[in-house]
Parts: sequence; structure tokens; C-alpha cells
Amino acid sequence: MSDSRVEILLTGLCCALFCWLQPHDIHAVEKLDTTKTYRIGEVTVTEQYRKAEIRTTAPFQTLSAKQLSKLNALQVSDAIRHFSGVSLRDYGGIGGLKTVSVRSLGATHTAVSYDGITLTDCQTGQIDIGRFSLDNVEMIALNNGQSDQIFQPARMFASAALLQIRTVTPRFEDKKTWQGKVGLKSGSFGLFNPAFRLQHKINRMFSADLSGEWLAAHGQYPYLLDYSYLGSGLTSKEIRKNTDVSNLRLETTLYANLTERESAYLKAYLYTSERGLPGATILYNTDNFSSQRMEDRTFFVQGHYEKDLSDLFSMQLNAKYHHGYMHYSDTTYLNELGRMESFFRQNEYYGSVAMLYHASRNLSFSFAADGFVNQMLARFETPELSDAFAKPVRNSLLSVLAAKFVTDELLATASLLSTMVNDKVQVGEAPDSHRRLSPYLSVAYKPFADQDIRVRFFYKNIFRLPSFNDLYYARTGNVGLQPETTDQLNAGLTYALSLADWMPLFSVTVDAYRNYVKDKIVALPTKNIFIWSMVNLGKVQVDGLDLTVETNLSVNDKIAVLLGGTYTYQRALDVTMPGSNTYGHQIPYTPRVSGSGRLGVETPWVNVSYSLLWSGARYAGYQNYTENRLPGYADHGISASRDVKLKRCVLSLQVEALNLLDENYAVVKWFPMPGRSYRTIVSLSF
Amino acid sequence: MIKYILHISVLTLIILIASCDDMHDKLRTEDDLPVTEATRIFVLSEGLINLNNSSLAMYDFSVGAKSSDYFLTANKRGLGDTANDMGLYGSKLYVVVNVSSQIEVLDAGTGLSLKQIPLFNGQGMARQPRYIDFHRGKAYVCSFDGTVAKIDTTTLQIEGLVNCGRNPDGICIANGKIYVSNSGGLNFPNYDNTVSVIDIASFQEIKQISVGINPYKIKADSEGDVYVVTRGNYGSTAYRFHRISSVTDEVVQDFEDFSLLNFTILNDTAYMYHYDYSTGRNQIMTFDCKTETLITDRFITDGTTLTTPFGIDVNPINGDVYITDGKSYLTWGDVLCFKQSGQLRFRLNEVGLNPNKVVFR
Repeated sequence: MSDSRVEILLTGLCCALFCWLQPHDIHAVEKLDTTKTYRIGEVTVTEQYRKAEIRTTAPFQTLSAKQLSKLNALQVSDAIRHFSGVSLRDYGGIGGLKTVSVRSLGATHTAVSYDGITLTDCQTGQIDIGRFSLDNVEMIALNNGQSDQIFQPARMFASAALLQIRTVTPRFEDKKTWQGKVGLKSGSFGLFNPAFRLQHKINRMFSADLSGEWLAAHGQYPYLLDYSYLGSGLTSKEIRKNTDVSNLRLETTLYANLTERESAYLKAYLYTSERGLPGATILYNTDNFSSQRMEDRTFFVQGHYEKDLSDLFSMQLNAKYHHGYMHYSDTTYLNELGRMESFFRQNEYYGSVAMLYHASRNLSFSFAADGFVNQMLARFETPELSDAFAKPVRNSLLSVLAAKFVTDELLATASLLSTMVNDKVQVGEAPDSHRRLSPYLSVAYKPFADQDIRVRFFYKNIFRLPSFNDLYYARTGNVGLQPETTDQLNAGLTYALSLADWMPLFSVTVDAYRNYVKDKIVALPTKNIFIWSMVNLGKVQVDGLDLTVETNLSVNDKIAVLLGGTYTYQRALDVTMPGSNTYGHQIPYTPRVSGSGRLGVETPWVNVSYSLLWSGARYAGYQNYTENRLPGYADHGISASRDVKLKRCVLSLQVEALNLLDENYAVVKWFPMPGRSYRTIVSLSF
Repeated sequence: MIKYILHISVLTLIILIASCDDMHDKLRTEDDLPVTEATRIFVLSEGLINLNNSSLAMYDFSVGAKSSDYFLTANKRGLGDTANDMGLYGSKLYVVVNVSSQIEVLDAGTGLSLKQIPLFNGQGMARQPRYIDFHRGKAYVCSFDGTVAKIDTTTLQIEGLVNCGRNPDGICIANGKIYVSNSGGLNFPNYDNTVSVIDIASFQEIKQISVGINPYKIKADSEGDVYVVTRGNYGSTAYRFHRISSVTDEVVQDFEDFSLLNFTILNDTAYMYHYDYSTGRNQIMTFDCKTETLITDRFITDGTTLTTPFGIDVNPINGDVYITDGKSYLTWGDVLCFKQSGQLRFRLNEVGLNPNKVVFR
């Protein structure tokens, strides 16, 4: 897409925002009532979270199940693109790797939690969020820095940004002891995705939940291949190949509300996936990656127990066992065996204890300690390679001391995290152990009693450890690597009001920030394609601005309009070495501007929603030269849905059209995204 | 009132930021052509793997013309992914594109493609061509799949294929025979350690000479000596230089007192460089192929420094030595032209991403 189209889009977005804002000013002077509760169509968690979003000391964005259903999103990765400050690396297709970088810090700095306990992949240091379906999700949320909630496991404090995935917790209406949902999503490129959820109230204390889904698709979508890396050459129509996926998820949870002050859950989760890795499209050799396959399995059991010991003390315990298996194979590799093959196994044993102490009405303290062991084993196509693998075991001890101060005007939190990490290896050299202290400070201030305006500020210093791949992977690994450190400074303004009956909610958040990344871990290729090596090289300075706007309009008793938008500006520059040929260049795959928009119209007959994702140009290389430029794009989606109330159940029907304008674009260069496609979703809730 | 002011300020802010995708392409450092002489050079840059950004720059010093991607401009399509080698034979340029698995044959005068020769086996698997050399109207291309292809330079048809060792990574011709260095590089850590000898007349492999672990660049002098670099295992075994006699097809000399990574030979002088990955230090040397001794281990005499030498070629017309600098491998590299005396004559800035080969016409 050309620059001019980006500008038109921007102007369009501006106008849209302008239009919403305009009538405000007139009413604003007359009516001022912040004590009034926001009137949204129904009382849902949405409202609570949105309140949270404007009250937090650090940016916090959420999408509820209801909002998610309007985003034309299948996977968590589709939805997360609607958060501001986020850049998603999407390698295209259902099976393509999807990782999320927040505010240009890199995907390895984003932790992902699943029902309050973080997921880990020590091998790559990043989580593929494309694997999480939205089918069972009640809410996803993104914290920049960390949450104001100080009563959490220490690992929730230990990343630059945190993506939280919360699954549906059962809520039973009177006398109902069984409820559930069955659904089927199907659509273009052979998508077939049946899912079920069954919930049972065992007694007053216990309830249980079982859910599962299977997702299969051949994933072969057409795309236009441009034969010039500059993007204006000859073209041909191609079909993306080796894109089939087959994923299975099974999940069960037992919930216990033992007393009013004591609750627990125990969850088991199984995910298996078998898929093709289509790789980059190689000119004149589009079958290049037609034989790379990936098989993976994830299994974990996690438990949570929480108790208010007294009015002053609360305690929580968390534990987890995680097993990951991954098998990668390439049967056209030109070695003696004619194949490249890797088997990786990872285990994690995790335990956490956290205490909360209410020192006074306004002041509370918490302490959390997490201990965990991560182990990785690998096997390759030859015994030499297998024997040479380090077989690392990483022992980590994280402890955090946090404080929180709350009054009507002020909310402040501070924490100090201590990390002790020690890697042991069976083969080769072990890296140094690391001990670090990571401070965090945040404050939000509400200057006017009658105005829902807050100014907020946070500072966070945190690091990420080199992943096992960075340290130990065949010849590329470098055990001398140091952790990659980030500093984040954020100042923001939030504002919410309920203006009139026809506009029960209007809220806006604006945050400006500066981030530094130092000792960035990068791979450098050397003389030939066999040798790459990981090094701590690179400093990045990010100056950015995030904006979110959300409003609800009530046209009349029956019709409601929901509008939301985000805008992100990121000046993420390489500042490694003054005078070098990349100094001052925007880092790869980071648009200067990007944003999203959503519009929902709810009527008693049909609900219609529209979603937009757009991004300015990016660079696929380290230098901001024309040759590296990857044009911006806009991806529009539209859907219509209707709920039909039957005797004892509700039938929901939804049709979606994705990438409505059939735009041929790529998030990652030479990894084309699908063009226009369709989905239908049928579900029955009982 | 506060609310009013706030609205105005929010609105202003939105308009301000929304209007600013202030990210513009930066301009490469490009100078005017530094010299006037009857030389036209082609610089091949391999780009980065899986980015399809191999490029061919052309500088015509006689008329002061240059083109940063001569091939793309003429053909409206790129060379493809990871162009490793290039050779001029007659009026045609042959570009060996490894990951795209093609030999791109183009007219050296116009840049127009004459033929794209795909190198795939019967099952559609890419052979991954690496290096090319020419002999009596035929081009010989070694490919990672362990084959050497014979291409007729008139019909541009593949006339035959012969098997050699594992993952060949260098080819040259001497004494009616083809010498192919079998690196085995894709079999890490079980590298190959041989040079295949292929008889041109019968187009059969007649011998494998054991030379040392991971052989790479291979070149012949006028006396029938074949020189080959072995790269070792990038660890305990070092880079070494060896001499093979094309008469006996035996290794006749191992040079223990210096290391090198890459070289080229013109008029029985070898122009060499070494690059040490662990220290980042480099060294440019010259070597006399008649006396089998180093001429100098400090070729550069004027204090010019390179970051990462990535290719070395000599202009047969005036003896100028062209060394490409890959810099960080992730950024556009330069081409440095040195006089025989080792003084920098000129530098072509930011020619391409990982420039690896200069061809003169």
C-alpha cells in the first residue's frame, strides 16, 4: 500500500475520532456527573475492566469475551493486534508462528500468563500466541510494566510486559447444575474447528469445567508473489503450500470455593499440534520449504490456592508442572542422511508462595517467592549432534517485595524483584550465574474530585535471560551472553466520563514513553550460511505514544453502538554505535505508526461489527533503505451475528469476512498473509 | 471548562500524531564514480538468506554510469535468494543463485536475462548451486547436493551431471580436470575433507583427494597447481592452505605458517585474506604461486582498514585488487579498490548487502 493510502486512512481515523469528540464539548460544560455509573447494555466484566484501564498506574488494556467476539478473531494473536503499542510478528496462516513485541522491546520481553500463572519456553524465550484459541477465553489483557495488583507470584513482576489470558470460569444461574456450549467454526482454506465446553456444579463448594476443540485446515491460500524485493516487479499468482494444521486442545479445571475466604483451582491442559512450516517464499523455488514439518505437544497441570488468613493477612500458593515436546523435521536437507531432525523436550517444575499484608486502610505490602527448575533435552539426526547438546538445567529463584498505597486521589505501587539464576549443563561450558535486582515504581494521581482524570507514571527496569537456544544451540549458541536489559519510563493521562444517556461511556488514555534496550541479543551471520552466532550487541531507544479511545453510544433502548480505537507511534531507533551505518535507523519490523479500530452496532435483530487493523511501513532489515521497506497495510474485517433464544438454549450464528479488501500484504517479508476469506460460526449454549 | 480544555488538547494531540508517519527512507551513501577508465565492473551481493535480496550492481567507469541493481532494472524481477557466485564468459554473465537454485544467464551489455537455468533433481528438490567455473565453451557448476552440472555456454542447456562429495563449496579447472572441494558443511560436525577430481573428457569422478576438514575456495595457477583452503571445524582445527599437483592429483604441500579464508589467483599471484570470527581481525596477504611463498602478509600499505572482508577479486586489465567488505553482514557493504602497491585507490560505498564477487569487463 502506498504512503498516500496510509495518509488517507490516518485522516479517516482522525475524522472518526473528531466526530465522536465534537458533540462532547457542548454537553460537557452542562453536565458533569462522574459519580454516575456507566450505563452499558448489560452488566458484564467489560465494564469493570474498562474502569480498571483508566485507573491503573501503568497502561492496562483488556478485551472481554464479548469484545473478542466482535473482532473477527480466531486466535489470541488476532485479537492482540487491537491493543496499542503492540507489534505482532505474524508469519501468516493459522499455523504460522505469532509472537508479540510490546513497545518495540522484542517478543522475548513479553511474558504470557494463563489463568494467573506464566507460561515459559526456555528454549526460544518467547511464546507462540497463535496456538491459543479464543474459544475458551473470557478475557485477554496486556500490562505494560506490571499490574497494580501486588498480590501475585513473583514471575508476574519479572517481565517488561505481560499478556494475560483468562479462561472462562463457570457461573451458574439459580438451580442450574449443568451448562455448556458446543460450536463449530468453519471457513476458507479448509478450516474446520469444532469445540465444546461442559460445566458442572458439583455442590456448593466445587464446580468443574471440561472443554476441548480440534482445529484442522489445509491452509492453502492464494497470494500474489512480487518478483522484486523493491515491490514493483513482475508478479505471479501462487498458492501457499505446506500450510496444513491439525491442533487439539483439551482442558479441564476443578474450582473450589471452600469458604468465603478460601478458594482454589486445579487445571490440566493438553495441546497437540501437527503442522507444516511453509517458510519464506523463495523466488523461483517456492517449494523450498515444502517439506518442513513441526509436531508439538504441551501438557501442564497448574494449581492455585488462596486464603485470607485474617483481616490483615492473605496468602496464595501456586504450583505447576509443564512438559513440552517438539519435533522438527526437514526431509530435503542436503546432508548425508537427507534430512534434518530435532526433538526437543522441556520440563518445568514451578512453585510459588505469596503473602499480602494490609498495614492500614491505605497501605499494603506483599512478598512473593517463586522457585522453578527448567530442563531441556534434545536429540538430533546424528548421534554426534545429540551428544554435543548441553542438556541444560536452569534453576531460578525470584522473590519480590512490593508495596501499594491507595487513597481516593492517589494510587502508587513499588516493587523490588530479586532474581537468582543458575544454569547447569552436562556437556560443554556453563554460563555464569546471574543475580539481579529489578526496581519498579508507579503512581497515578487524580487531581480533581469531580473529574475522572488521572495522570500516571511508571518506571521499570527489567531484563530477560538468554534463551537456551541463544546459549546452547549447536554452533550458534554463545554461553558468554549477558541478559538483555530494558528500562521503561511512561507518563500518561486517562480520562473517562459518562456524558449523557446517549453516551454512557467515553474514555481515552494517552501515554508517552521512552524505553531503552541494552545488550540486545542478536544473531549475526558470518562468512557462510552455516555459521551464525549470538552476541550481545545493540542498544535501542524507543520514544513512543499510545492512544486508546473507547465509547459506547445508546441510540435508543434497542440500539447501541460501540466504538474503540487505538493509535501507536513508535520511534524505535538503533543507538548502538554513533556513526555506524545503522545508527538512528528504525529497528526492523517496527512501524512508526500503527493502529486499530472497531465498531459494533447492536440491535435486537442482528449485531454487526467491523474491525480494522492498519500499519504504516516497516523495514525488513537493519537499514532504512528503500530496498528494505515493507509497505504498510490495512486489514478490514466485518461480521454479522445473531443470537436466537430457543426453549432451553441459545443458538448463535455468526458470519465473518476477513481481509475484506483482499489486500495482499505481509507482516514479515516474504511470508504472505491470506487474502479475503470467510468464516461461519455456529454455537449452541445450554 | 477543564473538560473543554482537555477535549481540545486531546483532539490537537490526535491530529498531531495521526499526521506523522515521519519514517522516511534514508539515502544510501553513494558517491560519484571515483575514476575514469575503461572498466565496467559488476558487483554481486548475496543479500541475506530467505530475504530474496541478492542484487547485481554495475559501475561503468568509462561513461560514468552506474546501476545499483542492474539485473532488476532490466528484467523487472530480482535475482532471487543468496546469489553465491558469478562469472563472465564471453559476453554472458552467469549468476549462481543458491537458495533459489537457479543459474541466471544474462547479457553483460544490457543486463537482460537470456535464460534462467533451474537446478532441481527429478523429485523437484533444489540442488542449491554454489560456485561456477568455465572451460572450453562449458560452464561447470557445483551444487550442495553433491553434483557438478555441465552447461553448454551456447545452447545454455544442462548437458550432464556428475556426482562428487558432500556439499561442494568450490570449483576450479586445471589440466583437463575439474577440482571440487567437498565441504560437507551441512553435515556439521561430520565435515567432508576431500577434493573430487573429475575428468572433463569422460565427465567422471576419477579420484577423491584427502586435503583436510571442510575444504572451501579452490583455484589453479598457470603451472597446474591447485590451491585449496580448508576451514577446519571452526574450533580445534584451524584454517589451512594446501597445494595439490594436478599431475599426480596428490597434496604436495601444506602451508602451516599462515591461515586464510578466501583467495583468488591472477598471473600466478594469489590475493588472499583471512578473517578471524572470534577476534574480528582481518589480514590481507599476497602469495607467489611460483616460489610458493608469501609476498606480504600486510598487503594494505596506507593504513586503510576493512571490517569484514567478504570477497576478493583482481582486475585482469590493470591489476587493481577489489576487496568487498561485508561489514556486519546485516548492513550494506562496500567495495574497496587497491592498487598493486596496497594503497586504496577508491571506495564504492554501500554497494549491496553482503557483496561477495566483483567481475570485470
